[in-house]
Amino acid sequence: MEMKIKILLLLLVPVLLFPDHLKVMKVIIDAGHGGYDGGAVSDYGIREKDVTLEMALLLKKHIEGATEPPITAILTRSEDKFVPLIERVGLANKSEGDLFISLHMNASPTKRDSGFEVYFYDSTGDAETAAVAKRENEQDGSVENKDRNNPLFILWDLAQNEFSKESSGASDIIQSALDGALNRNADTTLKLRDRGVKQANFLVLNGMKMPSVLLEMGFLTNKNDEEKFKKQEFKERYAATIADAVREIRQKFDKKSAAGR
Amino acid sequence: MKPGRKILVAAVAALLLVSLFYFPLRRKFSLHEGALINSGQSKRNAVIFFVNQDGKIVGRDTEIVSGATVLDDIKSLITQESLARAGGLLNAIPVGTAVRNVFIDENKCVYIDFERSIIDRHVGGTEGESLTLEALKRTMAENFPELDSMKLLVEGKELASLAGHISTRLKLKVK
Repeated sequence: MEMKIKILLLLLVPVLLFPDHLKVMKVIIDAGHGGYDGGAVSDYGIREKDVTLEMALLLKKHIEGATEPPITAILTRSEDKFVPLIERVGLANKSEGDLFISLHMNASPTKRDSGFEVYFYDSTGDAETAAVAKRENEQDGSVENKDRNNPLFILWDLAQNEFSKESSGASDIIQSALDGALNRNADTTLKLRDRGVKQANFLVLNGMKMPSVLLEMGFLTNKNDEEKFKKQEFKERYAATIADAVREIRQKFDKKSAAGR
Repeated sequence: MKPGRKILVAAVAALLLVSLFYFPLRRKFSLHEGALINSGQSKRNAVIFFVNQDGKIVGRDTEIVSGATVLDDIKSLITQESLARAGGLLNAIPVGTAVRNVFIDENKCVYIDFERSIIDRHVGGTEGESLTLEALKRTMAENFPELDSMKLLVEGKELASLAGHISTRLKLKVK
């Protein structure tokens, strides 16, 4: 009996030493805006909050369907309601998600701007960025000391950057998948300009304890982009492509995780 | 050379030297410590920023009548940037945006307190937000080089973001 316990403990050692936190098993899908916050609006009255919700529901369907082993998709909102950004971050962290994807529609003063772009968090700004994160955490009561030199504070700053590489990698995979599906095939009606991968200091990505990306799916202020997001077939194709990218991200993270052992 | 001519040449040289150093400095807005009083010129050249049809930020020369302080000049420039434009240029700062107040702290950070119009009339989107922030930053950097950073407020309160994307809780570097 004692021997069995020892063997069991030995088997547990690698699991304890190398927590498999990068395995994408739980994806948090964030439909941008909602409720009184309509987000951007097109010339024809299409609201960002409606497109993001519809796309989030489609993405959940495509992620959870026909994936083995299964991937769970959790929505930060599944109806037209306002959810504060800090609550979205809190929900994702409490759910212990493995990947966070925030969906948005872009807008610009010029109607010529078009296409999709994938963002990940830019933590430059350092002490001040960390100060914001700290303040948000103070609301949860998780950080007590307000001193910037406090070790807790420094650890928090490190945590902000911990997932930067994975977020960058996930962004690249999503961008490449969308470019391939929309721009590199015979069907020219799908074409959507690829604006690449970028970084910015997003409120909804600040404090995220997992790899996270924000996808600006297209421009509501551009007529061609807007037209595409009126078509069900296009939206299904778009969501299915992101779901494929999520599976690829899981494979990449799994390989990396296995290589670390 | 006669002594009188020597004095004349020396005086002209001194005048030229003073002009070289003095006038370029006078062309800039000056942030006098504490009072921020303008240095007496009634008209100033400045650069204000808009978006072109390709979505790029572009500067345009303008002339403003200086107010009593640099703070008035900052307010005046942002007001110009929020007027509807003709000639193919678009507004990075929403049309009709109103500035309530401007002040500068001891760390050379300018606080720009807007009315809600900057949020209510904003086009939205990450790109739209980026363009607004870029235009404001470049307005400060180009016309008020003494400033280090800016902080946006709405109705006297900290602004989390213009349209729900990019954080404006931090002081934004203008240099």
